[in-house]
Amino acid sequence: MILGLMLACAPPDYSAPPVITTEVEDWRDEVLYQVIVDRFADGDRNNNWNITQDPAELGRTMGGDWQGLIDRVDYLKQLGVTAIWISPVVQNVETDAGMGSYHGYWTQSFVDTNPHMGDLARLRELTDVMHQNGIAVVVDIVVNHVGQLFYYDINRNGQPDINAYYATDGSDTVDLVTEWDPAFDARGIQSFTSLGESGPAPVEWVYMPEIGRVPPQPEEFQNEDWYHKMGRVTDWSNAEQVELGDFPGGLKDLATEDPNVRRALIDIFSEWIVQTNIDGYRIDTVKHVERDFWAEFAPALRAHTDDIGKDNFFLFGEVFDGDDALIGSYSGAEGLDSLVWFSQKYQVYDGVFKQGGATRAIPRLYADRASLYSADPVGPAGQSAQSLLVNFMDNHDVARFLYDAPDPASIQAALVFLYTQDGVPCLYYGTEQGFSGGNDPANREPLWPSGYATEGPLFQRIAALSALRAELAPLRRGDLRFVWSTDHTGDEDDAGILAFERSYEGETALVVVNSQTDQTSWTGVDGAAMAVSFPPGTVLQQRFPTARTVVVGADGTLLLDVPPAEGLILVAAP
Amino acid sequence: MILLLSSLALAGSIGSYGRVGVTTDPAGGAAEDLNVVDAGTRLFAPPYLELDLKWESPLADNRGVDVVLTPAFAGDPFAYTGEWSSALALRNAFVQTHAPGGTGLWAGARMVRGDDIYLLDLWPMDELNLVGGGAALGDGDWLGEVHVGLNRLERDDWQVQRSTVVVPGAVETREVLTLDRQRQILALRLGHTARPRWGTLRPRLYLEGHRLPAGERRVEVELSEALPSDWGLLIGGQLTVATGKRRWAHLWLTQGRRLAAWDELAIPEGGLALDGTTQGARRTTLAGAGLYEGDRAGVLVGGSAQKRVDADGIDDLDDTTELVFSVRPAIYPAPHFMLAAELSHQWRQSRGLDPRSDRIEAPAVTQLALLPTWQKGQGILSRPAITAQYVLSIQNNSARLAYDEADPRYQHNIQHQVGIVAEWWIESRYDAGGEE
Repeated sequence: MILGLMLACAPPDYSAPPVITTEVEDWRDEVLYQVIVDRFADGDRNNNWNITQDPAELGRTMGGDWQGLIDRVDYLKQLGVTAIWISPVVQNVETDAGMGSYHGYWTQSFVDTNPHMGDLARLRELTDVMHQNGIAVVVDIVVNHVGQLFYYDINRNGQPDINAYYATDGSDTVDLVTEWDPAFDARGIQSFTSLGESGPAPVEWVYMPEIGRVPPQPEEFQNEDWYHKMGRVTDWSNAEQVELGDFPGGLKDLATEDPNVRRALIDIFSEWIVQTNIDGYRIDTVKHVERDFWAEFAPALRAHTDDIGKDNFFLFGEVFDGDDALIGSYSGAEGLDSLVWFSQKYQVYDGVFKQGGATRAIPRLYADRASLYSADPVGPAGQSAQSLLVNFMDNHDVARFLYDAPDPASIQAALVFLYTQDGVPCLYYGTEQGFSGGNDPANREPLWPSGYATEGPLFQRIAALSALRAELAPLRRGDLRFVWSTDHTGDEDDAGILAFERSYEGETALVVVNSQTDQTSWTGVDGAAMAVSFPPGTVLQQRFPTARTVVVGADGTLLLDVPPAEGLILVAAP
Repeated sequence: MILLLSSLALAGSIGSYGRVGVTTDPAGGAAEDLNVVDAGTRLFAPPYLELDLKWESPLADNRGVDVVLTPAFAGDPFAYTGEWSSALALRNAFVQTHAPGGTGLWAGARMVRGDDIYLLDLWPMDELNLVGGGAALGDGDWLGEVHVGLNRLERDDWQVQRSTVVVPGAVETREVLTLDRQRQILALRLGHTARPRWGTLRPRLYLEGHRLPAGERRVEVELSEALPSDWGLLIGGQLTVATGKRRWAHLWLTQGRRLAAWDELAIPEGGLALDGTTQGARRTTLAGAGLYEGDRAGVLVGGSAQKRVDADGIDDLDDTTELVFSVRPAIYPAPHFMLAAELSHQWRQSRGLDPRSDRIEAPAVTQLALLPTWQKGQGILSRPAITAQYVLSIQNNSARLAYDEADPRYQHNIQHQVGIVAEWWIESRYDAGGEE
């Protein structure tokens, strides 16, 4: 019997691909929480090789992993998170120039998990545990480039030189360049010695297993024709460079126009869904890949998820740009379901909430949204990009909101707007703890020094907003109508006021935000008051931040006072 | 050393255990072992040599005091590598007193060992390396022992760490001790020997406790990591039945928890709980060995089943179940000549996914060996012996995944290897099938 007990080595629950399930009915209902896994929580100290324990060394790997997320699922639930966006899961080049690949954007193998994060079983378990707790899982992916896995042997000496002579674009000027990461040359990087050029520079794959810098996997990616080999982008306004150039840091640009490359990437990222039952992809560096790629990639993944019974899989991308026309051009049937709304981050969260700009900019931005983003109902649950834009106030690529907000209190109103406006709110981890790091990597702080406290004012505010958003369907799915905005930014009565109604299936929620941090403002100015859609005499209950009752005036207007850097949420009393 | 040996030899004895051999595969490569379990077959065990140097001084009433030194050498010999180097360890260096019934004291550095499974080169219950001391009290039927000792493993900054610091007032550096924590080990062993008419019956109980104090090691210039205190406990039982010197069987059941789920010379890093302790780790072992030998033939068997769970609470490759058994039948067709065969099978399954296949793998190896042997005496365990060996190994695809694709062992499921091995124990503290 003892022997029998010892042999009863039941297979782990996560040893086989999971049953595919649909976890999200409507992405507008979700609250996304962006996590750099390495920085969230360490749940398994046994994958902590080559890490730093110094919280100041933010450029190195720190030890967070998927087990840490599993262990902290209650923290996410208390915060009201219903979907997590986790950093890339694939194996990376371990280090480069002393920096760690903790972020996950330096792919070495498209088909293996990053051992710092866990194995495939852990990723399956993470997805399963999150699903059991009502949390969907979105994985960050990169198709534009791989890590720094080869160098251009410009002088053909068979070793990577950091000072090779080179004449970019065949010019008469000879520069010293690094063979790891030479500047863009539209002809492709050439071989060059003091006697001149001698054709395309050979690609030399590197075998440095001690830092994980080995040729890419699957093996077909070791075909040098699968890369553009044109060197690093130096002019970000040059579309050719942006699409064909290597990403800074020697990240080698894939020739995504090649049908074989496309097919390989489609197959790879289709298979990850099968293997893990994840619920969406956030796609990195979208504008660095030619549009044709997205017109093939996105429909192929939609078809795949349909085939396997994964409804409402969400594909949203990053176009790191403030131009709505550019961002929106990647949405729709020939593009992605949605995009991260960078222009809003710049114009609203920076321009209005941080810098005190006029709230009139917000309706204008929404008007642009209606014209510049696709209305094709091709996204999950038949939604269009217009209704599924991913809203954020900061993320891993920009300084945190609190880093350069002149008045830290401004985050209070910004959060109300984030959680009540149209689209999918996305909170960057650590915001709830008041993190205030500057640009990369300072904005990627480990979360553990916070002790995962849940009593702090920001945590409590976010949790309350999440709960209210979950309770009030209009805040999630309602049509949005602005009822007040202003150009006033000084001491006028309505300075900083933005008000909008969201209506869904006969219910309406009214949101009023004051972006001013130094005065109580009103929903009216110079004798005019905010007109609302509620009938005159309607009793409204203020549900956030404190409870009170107000009555819509006989003329259908409502004059509300809003404390500085605050937001109000009201609904009709039952 | 020569002088020392000479002087000791005059007053005591020199014993030795050793094995030296060489093997090859059809491609001319050295045959590497294919074991997939912690303790697999010893068919390709590397060369190893112990010299047991013992100075004996008799006292009155059949009592005595001994000084024992056991230098040991591991690794391939000079004739094979051409290198003037060898791994040398002092396995024993102690003084012991002895009296009738097994009563005695010892102190020094010592291997404290019980019975082993020769075919697997495995001591499944009691095998400790200690610097310390112990006492035994026995009357010929009962024997109680207590052993206490310490170790401080030098590797991996686990128990000891030395850091380079600036010498005050000088532009130079020196090495200082920045971590120092010794593992404390206590072992209790109680055995009884009953002698019914048909032979010998010997039950044994064994208890082994470990404690590791807390410490702090430097991980960066101005950053330290706290290492928590920890402990472990192993409980084991053994039953030995013997009907003669050449007919016996051992059965063991042990369970080690926390630190004692690993050997005392192992560092459990890689399987620690989040708090840095071994809380939750356990290793359970059921093992057996036996010899049944007559004048014309005999058979030696050994097997072990082991389940190990590490402390991280995660189903991974460190959580394993292993099975291995080996049977070596032999006949003695002529004086000094033994024809033996060995059939073994080993299997392991972990609870983690293989990183190359992303599946639960169950590596398994079956081996059949033919072992014609010249030996001084007669019997499977008679030594010195010179053995020619042919080994057929069949491994499954899961077993191949343990090797890099460039490793010859990855290339084929079926492998053939031949070799010749010399093995001896002469006046040695090692005695296969018996106890120390």
